[in-house]
Amino acid sequence: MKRRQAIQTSVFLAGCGLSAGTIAAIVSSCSTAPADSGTTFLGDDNVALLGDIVETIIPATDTPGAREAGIHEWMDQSVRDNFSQEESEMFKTALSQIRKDGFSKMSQERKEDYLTSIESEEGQPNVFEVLRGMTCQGFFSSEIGATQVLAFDPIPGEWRGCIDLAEVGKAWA
Amino acid sequence: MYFNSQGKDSVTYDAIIVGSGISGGWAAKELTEKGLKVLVLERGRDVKHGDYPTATLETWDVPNRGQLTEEEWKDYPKQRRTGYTVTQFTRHWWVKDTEHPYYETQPFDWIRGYHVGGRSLLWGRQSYRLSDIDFSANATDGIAVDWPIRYRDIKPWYDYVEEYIGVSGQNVGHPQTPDGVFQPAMELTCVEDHMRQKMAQIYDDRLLMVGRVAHITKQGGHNGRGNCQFRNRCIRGCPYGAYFSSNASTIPAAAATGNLTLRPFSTVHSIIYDDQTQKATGVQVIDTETLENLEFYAKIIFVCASAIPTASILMNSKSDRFPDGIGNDSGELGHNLMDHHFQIGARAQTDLFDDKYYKGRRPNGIYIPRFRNIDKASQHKDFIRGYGYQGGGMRAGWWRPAEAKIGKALKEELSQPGTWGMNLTAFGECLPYHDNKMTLRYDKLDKWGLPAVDFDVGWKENELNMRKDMQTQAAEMLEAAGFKDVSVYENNSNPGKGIHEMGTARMGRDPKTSVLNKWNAIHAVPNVYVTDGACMTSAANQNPSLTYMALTARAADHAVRELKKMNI
Repeated sequence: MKRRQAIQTSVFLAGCGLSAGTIAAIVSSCSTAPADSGTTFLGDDNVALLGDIVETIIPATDTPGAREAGIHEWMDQSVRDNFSQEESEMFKTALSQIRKDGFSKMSQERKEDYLTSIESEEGQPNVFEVLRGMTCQGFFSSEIGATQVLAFDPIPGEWRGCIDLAEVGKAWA
Repeated sequence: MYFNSQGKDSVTYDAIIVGSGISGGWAAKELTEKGLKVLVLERGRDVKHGDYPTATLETWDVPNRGQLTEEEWKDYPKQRRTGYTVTQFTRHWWVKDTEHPYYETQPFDWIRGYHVGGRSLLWGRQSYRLSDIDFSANATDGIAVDWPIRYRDIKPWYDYVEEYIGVSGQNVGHPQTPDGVFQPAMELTCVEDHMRQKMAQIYDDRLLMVGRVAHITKQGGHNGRGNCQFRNRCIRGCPYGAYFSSNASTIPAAAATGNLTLRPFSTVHSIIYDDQTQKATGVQVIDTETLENLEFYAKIIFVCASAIPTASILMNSKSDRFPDGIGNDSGELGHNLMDHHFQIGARAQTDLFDDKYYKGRRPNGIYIPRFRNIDKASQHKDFIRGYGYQGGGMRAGWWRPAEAKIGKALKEELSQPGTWGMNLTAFGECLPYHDNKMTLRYDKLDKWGLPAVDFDVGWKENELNMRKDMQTQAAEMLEAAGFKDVSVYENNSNPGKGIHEMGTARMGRDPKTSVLNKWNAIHAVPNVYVTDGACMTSAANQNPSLTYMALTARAADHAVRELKKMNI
């Protein structure tokens, strides 16, 4: 329960409308992280597939998308470091299914339809919600997301409490 | 038994200060500036101002976007309980629970860091004076013991401390929250100012102001400390020295006198008491690295180790005269443990100001001072004392729930700011109960041979009744001010989570019922002063550090006057 509260208050895991329950379900138990071997945790093919998935969720527009920001690689590490063994097995199983369905060969529109229509399994977090939440979290806290998509100001130097939004134009990182 | 390699002269000082946090740093500055040769003992490592390794890093510069891995968390199961303190940016500031275990007869979140500067590097920086409503509260209500001081006794020291540390804030002429000596106030956001105006229209007894916070907003003086840059990364340590810490302010000031010796890695085992003179003569110390036992001697000892370690040291200082711990004639040492209860309140949204925003990251929020039980008219039937609100009105960022599910629309939606929200979190006063206590477990010694602390502290009827009102009034004020989607929350915080431990060696008028006198000295051992949170006779509802600093400066002044009069 304490752990769950801690996670709920973390902005890093609250991305894109993950419900508190989903967040708690994603990271609800402890895991033993293996030593960093310099290779991928989920396997190169799964990480490549994740690249297609994150780019579907946050695509390149006039600014770079989630793949260029390396969110699939970040997600691989995040699963390694913060998921229990059971959770990472579930995650891998879900990716296998997505690959089997030929996701990477689909058009962008078809990919969007495919991901958003993934149904929840009984007693488990919705796979799309997990992928979406992690992609948003990873992307908007990445250097590309923060500095090219959001308004970034590492040393503001001043505080003005009430200005026109047009002066900033975007959400602050 | 205890040998020092040097002669006694080289381990003898005018004053010894235990701890280098917000109180110890002030004691060091005051005593050295008054010409005393001072030894500061700090159980943790040294941290020089500027030695803040993560201060300028971005989220993508640290592993795992700032989160600890599950493997790393294993060292911090209790420090983790706040949900915000331990990150990749800050983990070097917190104790590892695996190295510093404690026990919980009832749950208690003991959140702390051992290093020079202590929690003065990590504090919330909110700085509010107590008023006579607070200092007379125990007497008025007929509970616990009366504070031996009143506002007039401490007011000049509040003035002195505020001027020195730099507190950004506003004078509002509010008797419960006395005015002070302030740096320019930070601006409210559009929504906060809207709420302020609405409250001024609706309520005679309530007001909203920007928080009073220990940040420099107008450069000049303050030992060359810089202006706040509005990065809001204070908890990592401020390279500009813009918020007050021992490291940026009092310790450099003390060092500049040439009278300061700072000894890190020095945990105090006990205070040495001399039956002949009926005074303390020094302290027994364990070097935490070499495990050597050492003794240091002085005419004056300031115990500023923070409320729990201070009480532990006093309780562990046993002699024939004081079999239950030095200064414990009353039996109150380690009792009356208090914190503020919080993590309850309400939040809401508004459609107003959709074309407005802000610039910078203000390290501060709003403050609504206490309005309950001030006078007859504001008496509440279900509880005594009161609470204040902190919080703020900001726009949601990328972490909010998005309406768009996927693709370009999702990216575009989250690259714009979300709705304005307004949050009010109450901080409530906890009463001093003899039953709420800490004890020492001699069956659980740490690696330095010191007994572990066991907490037995719980919220009682007055706190629980107050919490209902804390929640209800937050929602009512937001509704009255015209906000929409008002929702209440209650996170049932454990005692300790406020990180305002207080009361374990309380001040009082009578040696039979209190540990310290009106000058913060132990009644029966007048050359030992305690000026951290342990001294608090009641908790009030205000953030307490400013009061510790003022009491420390006042006690240091008294100690030096007594020394000159040859009284101690």
